Amino acid sequence: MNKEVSIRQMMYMYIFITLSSILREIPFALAREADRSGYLSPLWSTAALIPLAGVILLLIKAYPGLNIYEIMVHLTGKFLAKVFILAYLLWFMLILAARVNIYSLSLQFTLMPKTRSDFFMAVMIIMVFYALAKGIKTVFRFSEFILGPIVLLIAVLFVCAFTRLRADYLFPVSIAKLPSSIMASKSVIASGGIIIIALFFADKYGISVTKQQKRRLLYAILFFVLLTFVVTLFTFGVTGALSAASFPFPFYITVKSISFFNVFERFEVLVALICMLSDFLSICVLGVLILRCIGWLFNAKQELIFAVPVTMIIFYLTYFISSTQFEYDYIYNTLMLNLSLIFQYALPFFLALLSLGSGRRLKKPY
Amino acid sequence: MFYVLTLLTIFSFIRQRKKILKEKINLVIFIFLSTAGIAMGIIHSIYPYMPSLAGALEKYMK
Repeated sequence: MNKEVSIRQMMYMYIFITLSSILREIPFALAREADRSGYLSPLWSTAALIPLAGVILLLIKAYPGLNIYEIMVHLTGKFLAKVFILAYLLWFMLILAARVNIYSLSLQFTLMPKTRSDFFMAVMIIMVFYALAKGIKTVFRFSEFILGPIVLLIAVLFVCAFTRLRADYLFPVSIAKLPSSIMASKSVIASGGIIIIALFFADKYGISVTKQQKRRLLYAILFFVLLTFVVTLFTFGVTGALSAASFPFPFYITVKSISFFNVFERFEVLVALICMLSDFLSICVLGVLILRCIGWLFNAKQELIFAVPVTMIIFYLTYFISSTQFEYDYIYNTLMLNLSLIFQYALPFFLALLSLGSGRRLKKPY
Repeated sequence: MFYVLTLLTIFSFIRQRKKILKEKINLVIFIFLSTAGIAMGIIHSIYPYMPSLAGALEKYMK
């Protein structure tokens, strides 16, 4: 059977769409929550991310060829499945609107401070429509193609920044800071938990899930944790935790001070571009997920016809959610972080428990 | 932007009318989503500086 999307592509996509959170939100959140010890927080997050990968693998293995909606219907019945899908739909709309908002705010903060956010959003709408018109596979292929050069670029940045690391910004880390460091890992857990989207595309992987594919899921999570740790370490080591907590995009400020043998500089433009690409792909994926949720909720088979009205809703939702960077930070910390933990961890763990309890297995007939 | 998006919605309806009118549920969802989007656009045009959800949360959670 020809697979529309493979687990490998999904993992590339996962790394790619978390890049903007890794570079933009996580260092800021960790510096604010855990001060100097914040760079250790990504390591604690493995305690939540690895079990989540286990849950995803368990569900994919128990219900090969089925997506999360079909698994829910099988485990909880049609009514509860639709209630959960409605909740996921609203949550996806919220995070998509927030992502569009932070994308335009980041561009205003970094490259084009005098340009109105409407313009950035209109450009993004055109890009997303163009990409999705080519099909979801094109979007996944794009992430597969572009992730390698981006990781290489980030590696070069770290090599350049290595001599600028200040040990007094990173050490000593006292044991008294351990609880705040563990609590701060909540933001890493919430960003990394987006791997749950793998279940929404689970019907596209085919019915056979090999051991190699399972390993890829774990490697993707370990890569996410490693990248988060390294980015945070360098941000704190170069800029300092105190300064990192004062800027909404501390990694951007860190990269401003980096040069390649005093010849090449201004790498921050590339960082802003990476974040823009990451936001673009996450908006594409979230848009597809919203349309899929609408299709499942109303049993509509041709959900793509709702793309334009959904775009209009998301466009105006961005204004209704937050309008400034301070408001975005507030709603991210108070509402979205906690909702993410519910939708990315509580519900899938509940489904896994039901799956283990029922003991029944189902395979989609092809 | 409101006019552009509204025109796009109408254009999308005309272009995909066969698919939309093929099933009643498609028409209902399309009208519901379009109405919601247009209503949000009208509200935003009338009150462009309306307090956002974050602002309201900040105000009432203190």
